[in-house]
Amino acid sequence: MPGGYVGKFLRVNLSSGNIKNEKIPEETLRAFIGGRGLGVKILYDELKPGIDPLSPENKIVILTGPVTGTPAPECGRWCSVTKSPLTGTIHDSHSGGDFGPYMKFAGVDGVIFEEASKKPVYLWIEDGRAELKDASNLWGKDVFRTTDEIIKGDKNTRVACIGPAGENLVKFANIINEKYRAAGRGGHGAVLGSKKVKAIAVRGDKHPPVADGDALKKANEAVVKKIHEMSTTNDSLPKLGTAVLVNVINEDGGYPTKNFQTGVFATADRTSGEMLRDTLLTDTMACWGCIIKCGRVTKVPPWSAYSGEGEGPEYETIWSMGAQCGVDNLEAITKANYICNELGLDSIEMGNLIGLSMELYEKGYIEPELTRGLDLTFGNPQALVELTWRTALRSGLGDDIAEGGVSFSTKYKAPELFMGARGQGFPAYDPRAFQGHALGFATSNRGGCHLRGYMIAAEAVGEVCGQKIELDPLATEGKAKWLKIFQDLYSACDSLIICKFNTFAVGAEEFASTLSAVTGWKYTPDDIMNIGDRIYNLERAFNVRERKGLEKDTLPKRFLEDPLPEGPRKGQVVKLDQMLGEYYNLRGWKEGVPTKAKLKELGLNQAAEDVGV
Amino acid sequence: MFIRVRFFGDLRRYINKRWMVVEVPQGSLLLDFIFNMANKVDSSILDKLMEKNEVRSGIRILVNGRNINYLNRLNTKLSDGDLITIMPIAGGG
Repeated sequence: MPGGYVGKFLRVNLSSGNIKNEKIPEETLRAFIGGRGLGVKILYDELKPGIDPLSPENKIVILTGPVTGTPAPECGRWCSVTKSPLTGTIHDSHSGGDFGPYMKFAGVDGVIFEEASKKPVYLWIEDGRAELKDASNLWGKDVFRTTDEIIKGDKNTRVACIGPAGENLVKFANIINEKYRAAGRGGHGAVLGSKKVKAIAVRGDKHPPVADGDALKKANEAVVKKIHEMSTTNDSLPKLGTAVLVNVINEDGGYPTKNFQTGVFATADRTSGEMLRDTLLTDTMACWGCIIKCGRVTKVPPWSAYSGEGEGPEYETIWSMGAQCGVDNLEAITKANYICNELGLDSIEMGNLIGLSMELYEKGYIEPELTRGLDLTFGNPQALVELTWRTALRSGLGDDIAEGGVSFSTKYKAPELFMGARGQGFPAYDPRAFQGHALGFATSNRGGCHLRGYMIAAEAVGEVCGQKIELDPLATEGKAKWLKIFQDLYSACDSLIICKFNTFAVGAEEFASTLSAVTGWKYTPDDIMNIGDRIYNLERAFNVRERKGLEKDTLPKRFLEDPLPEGPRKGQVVKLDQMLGEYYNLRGWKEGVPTKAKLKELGLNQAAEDVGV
Repeated sequence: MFIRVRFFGDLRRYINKRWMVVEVPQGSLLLDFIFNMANKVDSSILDKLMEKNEVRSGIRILVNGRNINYLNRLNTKLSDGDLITIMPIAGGG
């Protein structure tokens, strides 16, 4: 038995109520590790193309990795893998907090949910056993109350749940654990909602076995040393959280403002990490097993119109509810962030779409009567809170927004104004300001995403895997090569599962020593990158098999044709055609589709047969 | 000539300012500017910005929004009205 895994994957049939222990073959674990990789493999094998993601035919897999819950630094994460109702692609969504390790402590590596329950249920896992409990008194309740009522003050219990947004099948509803940590993107909360699964509760304190404790200790010491050497992980993230990026990206001229119409937000500083620390921050917070401690605990004072308390906002939410909407009221942004958590919907998508609705409104595509009195011009902080509630409850315009950006913008006759890819909204980086990151946006298998290949680490930060690596954000040369490295590394990172912030300080070498020490299986850095390549290709194969068009890697016209109008990156457009050809060559793909040879090389024989060109 | 400078991150707390305008002689380089500014504020901030005649690791400097590593680093020649941004090396999500 390899170390790290506790050896139990549960398959829960929600229709029959049957729960059984699933044996995952060792060669599958070796080839895909866990987390994202394992989830993608399971769903490639088990889902037929063309199913409705919100039907009982979809499956959703809640997973940890072998490293989760061990003494390795930053191993406190878990993920959910499913076919997304927002993008129609294979989709993994990740979260921090405590839930991942506690799932392991409760004696389970992962859970596969299939079919749908007729009545609301929640899954209770303890001592390696699970049971489906009645959730009818929890259905309809918000995330905070649901969490409290299941935990009932027990210190060894943790809960991941959906809120009203998930129950109402909002296409970007999320799964929230510990009240403020989100498996945010892609609408996984809606998938659970469609299955009438309100929550997963885990209770336990048994730590997973590790194959070689001494080797792990040595690997951990090396990782901790590197984390303390890099400014990102040792300095700026602990001090100011991810919000430190507000000024950094704005000063670079790539801070998307008013639905990506420009890259400079004049009053960004009012919503910066510095401002957050000086006004609303009350404490910092770390996920389980983390020494970086980037989390923010905040409070908006009782005399404010936007009073409340909780965790966040993070950089992405500050942007999505801030510059994206032209709003520079940090208190309103923070309140909107709390409400997204309470109702269980993705703050990135929500903010992106509020910004979209503002551009639609200002340009006359949305008639004023439709907003029921809400002034939807850019800069109105009232819009943040009101539209978030409306969307979660599918009320008025919120019902249209809840369907996602493609549907929403198409309904109002301006599909070209949705800033996203494959149906998922772009996050807080204007691609025209960062060519490599733009290529990442276009080629992401799960739609608009900055984390598939965080090229910003090289193009705006300068710390990559423990080295001072800087790439010129304006250049296109060499970007394809670097993006493939990032994408493969992060695919592996998401499967161990280790927090990506480690990758400012460490890389494949440290992942290999950590994974080898934990499992007892021998991994080299090349193995790690190879596994990442395999996962990325299998995701692409899933999408290609799913539907024609999902292989198309492109960006909205705004980024390809409309130059940034002002700031340090004035005049820039994304030069996608200068990078895409080289990217496909390096990947072994033709026009976005993996070749048979490439898939066979990665051991993906079924995929080679299904989709290989 | 007049050069504008903006501070971000922890430097703000240390210098107690968000921005300054500094007058420097024509033809000044970035390095000259830094010494000039340190003189006006507090010479110990030199230590925060520099280490052994190089920009301190953890600090990122832009001139008119462009990273100095793509210009002439500390020898970048300044012009009247230029904006210098001094910020922390920072990454995130």
